Amino acid sequence: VWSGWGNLGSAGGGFATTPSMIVQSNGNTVITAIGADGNLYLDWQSSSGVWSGWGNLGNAGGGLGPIISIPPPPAACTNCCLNYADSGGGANPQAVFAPNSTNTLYAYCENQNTGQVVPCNVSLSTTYYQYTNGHFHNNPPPPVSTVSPNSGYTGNYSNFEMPVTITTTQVGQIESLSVSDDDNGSAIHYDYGIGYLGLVYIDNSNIFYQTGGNKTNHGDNTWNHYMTVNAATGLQRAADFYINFYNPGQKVCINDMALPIGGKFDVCWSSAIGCTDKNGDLIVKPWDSPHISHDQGTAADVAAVVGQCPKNYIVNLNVFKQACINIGGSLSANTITEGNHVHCRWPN
Amino acid sequence: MFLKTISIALAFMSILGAQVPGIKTVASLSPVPLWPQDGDITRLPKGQYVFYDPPSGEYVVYYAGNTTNSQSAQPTLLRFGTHALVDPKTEFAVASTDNGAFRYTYNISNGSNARQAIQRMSMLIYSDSTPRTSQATWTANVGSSTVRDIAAPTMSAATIDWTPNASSQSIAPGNTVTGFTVDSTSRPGFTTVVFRGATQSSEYSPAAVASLPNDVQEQVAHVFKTAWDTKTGLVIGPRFSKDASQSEIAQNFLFGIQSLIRDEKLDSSSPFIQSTVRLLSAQLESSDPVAKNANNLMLSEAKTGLEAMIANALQTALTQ
Repeated sequence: VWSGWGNLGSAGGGFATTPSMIVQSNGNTVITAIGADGNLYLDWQSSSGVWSGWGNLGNAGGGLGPIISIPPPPAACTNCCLNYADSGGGANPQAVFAPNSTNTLYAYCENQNTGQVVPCNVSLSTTYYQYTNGHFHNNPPPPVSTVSPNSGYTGNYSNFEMPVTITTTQVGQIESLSVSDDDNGSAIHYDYGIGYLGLVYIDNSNIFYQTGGNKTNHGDNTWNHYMTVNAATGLQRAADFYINFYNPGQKVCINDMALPIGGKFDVCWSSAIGCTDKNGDLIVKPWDSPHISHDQGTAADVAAVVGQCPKNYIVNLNVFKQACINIGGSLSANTITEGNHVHCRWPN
Repeated sequence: MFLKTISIALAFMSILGAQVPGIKTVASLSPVPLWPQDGDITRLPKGQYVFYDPPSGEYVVYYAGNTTNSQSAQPTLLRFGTHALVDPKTEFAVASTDNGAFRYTYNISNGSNARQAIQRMSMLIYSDSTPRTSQATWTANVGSSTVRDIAAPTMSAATIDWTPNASSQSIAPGNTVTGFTVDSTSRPGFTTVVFRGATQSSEYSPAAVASLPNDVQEQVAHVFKTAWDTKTGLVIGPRFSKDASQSEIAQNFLFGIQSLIRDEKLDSSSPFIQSTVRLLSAQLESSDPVAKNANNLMLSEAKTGLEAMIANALQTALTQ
C-alpha cells in the first residue's frame, strides 16, 4: 500500500538540482540535493520510517562541480579494487583461531602403519613466527598462545586421547604447536593462525589513495588496508557519494584499517612512534595499543592532513563523517572525527 | 629451452616434521575427539557429533536424533574418509631462462609409512603469472584460488592443481614422481603446496549430511576443510610479481626460513641463515631497501643444497 505523496520541504533557498534518492541495504532511504546557495543537503529516513530533516553538508573547493549521478550501491565493488575473493577464506591451508579464544584439540599417539591408538607420554609447546601479519617489530617479542596441559600420559585419559586447550592472545599472527611423543622422540608441528578470515584488501584505485604505511612498523601500505566486506562496501559507498556529490575529481585518503588477518593493531609499541593520550602524555603499549576498533577490520581512518595526503585529496572531515554514517551505514555513535582524520566504524 | 642454471642442486624438504627410522608410533593431533576404540558409545560427549577413528582413517558422524524424542529416533552413523594420511616430500629447483622467465621443477615422493597415495597436489602461485605446466602422467589446471594463505595474506593467488591422468599414476607410499615443471615470469618465493590423499572410504560431500541438523553439518564441514583434511608444505615457487614490495619478499623468506629451521631442514646456527635472518629482519623493521652488497654476502656464505637454493631465489626476487 502506497502512502501517497508527503511534503519533505526544501532547504538552501530551494533546490538547484533534482533530488536523488538511494535505498541503503539497511533499509534507510537517503535523499540528496544541492540548494540554491550551492550547499549539499541530505535528508534520510530510517527503516522505522522517521525522516531526519534536511541537513546541510556545506560545499568544498569553491563550490560544487558538475553533478554526476550517484552509482547504484555495489553488489561487488567494481571501481575500488576490492578483492572479494579474499573473503572466501574457508579453504585456507592452516587452521585459524580467533583472538582471545579458547580452542580444544586432542593429542594422542598412533601406530604409524596401522593407526592403532596407543598410550604414550606427550609434551606440547607453542611458538610464533616472527614478522607475520604485518607485525614488523620483535622487541619485546609478542605474546604467544598457551597450551594446557603441556604434558601428560595419554593412558590416563579416555580413549588414550589428551584434550588440550589453546588459549590465544589478542595478537594476530602465525604460530606453531609442537606435539612430541616423548617415548620415542618423534614430533609433529602444526601451524595455525590467530585472527579473522574474510577481510578484503582495499587497494589504491580511482577513488582511494592509500597512506599510513611505513610509519608505525606495521609494514607498508600493503599491510594496513584490510576490512570486512560489510565495512569495505560501506566505505566505498561513502567515498562514491563524497566524490560524486561533494568534490568531484578528488580521491579519498585512506589510512589505518586492519592488518591482513586482523588482531591487535599495535601502533604504539615504541616511544619512537609518538603515541599520546588525550592529556598529551606519551603512550608506549607494545602488543596492546589503544587502536582497539581496528582489530576486527570494521574501522577505517580517512585522513585529512597534508603530509599523509596530497593537498587536493584532503576531505572535509565533517562531511565525510556524515557520508560514512548516512550513506555507508557506519555506526553513528562510533564514527567520529579524531584530530586530523575521521574514524568510520561499522558493526562487528 | 635453454636454461641458465642458477642452481643445479635439488633442495630436499619433508613436510610436517622429521621421520625417525624404526619408530613405530607417532604423536598426532585431532580437531575432534577420537571415536571410542572399544566401541562403547555410551559416554560420547554431549553436543559432539563428529569423531576421528585413526585405524580406519575415517571421520565418524554419530547423531542420536532429537534428544527430546530420543526413544523413537533412529541414530545416524556415517563414515567419511580423510585425505591427510600422506607423507609428502618435495625436491625443488628453480632456474632462470634466456627469456627472463623462470623454470620451477619439482619431484614429489610419498613416504613409505604413508597410508594413502597422493592423488592431488595444489600449489599457490602469483595470480598474474601465466604459467605453462608439464608432467608426463599428471595434468595441471590453473585457476583462481579458493585458498587464502594466512602466511602470505597479501598474495594475489591462483592455484595450479595437478591430478594424475589415471588412478594408477597417483603417488603410492614409497614412490616418487618426477618432472613437475612450471614456466612462469613470476619471481621466486616460498609458497604453499597442499597434498591430498586417496581414500578407500566414502567421500564426504555436504549433500551426504544435508538431512542432519545444522550444527551437525557444521561440525562435519569443519574437519573436511583444507586445514585438517590435507597435508601442506612450503616450496620455492612462482610467488612474486615484478613490482612486489621488499617488505613482502623479506617477510616471505623469513617465514620460509623459520619454518625450515623448525622442521630441522635448515641449521639456525649456520652463518648464511644467521646473516640472512639479520639482514631481512633489519629491512622489515626499518623499511629500508636491502643493500645490494648484502646479496653477494648471502651467496658467498650459503652452503650447497637448500641454502644455495634459498640464496639464489632471494637474490632473484629482490633484484629482478
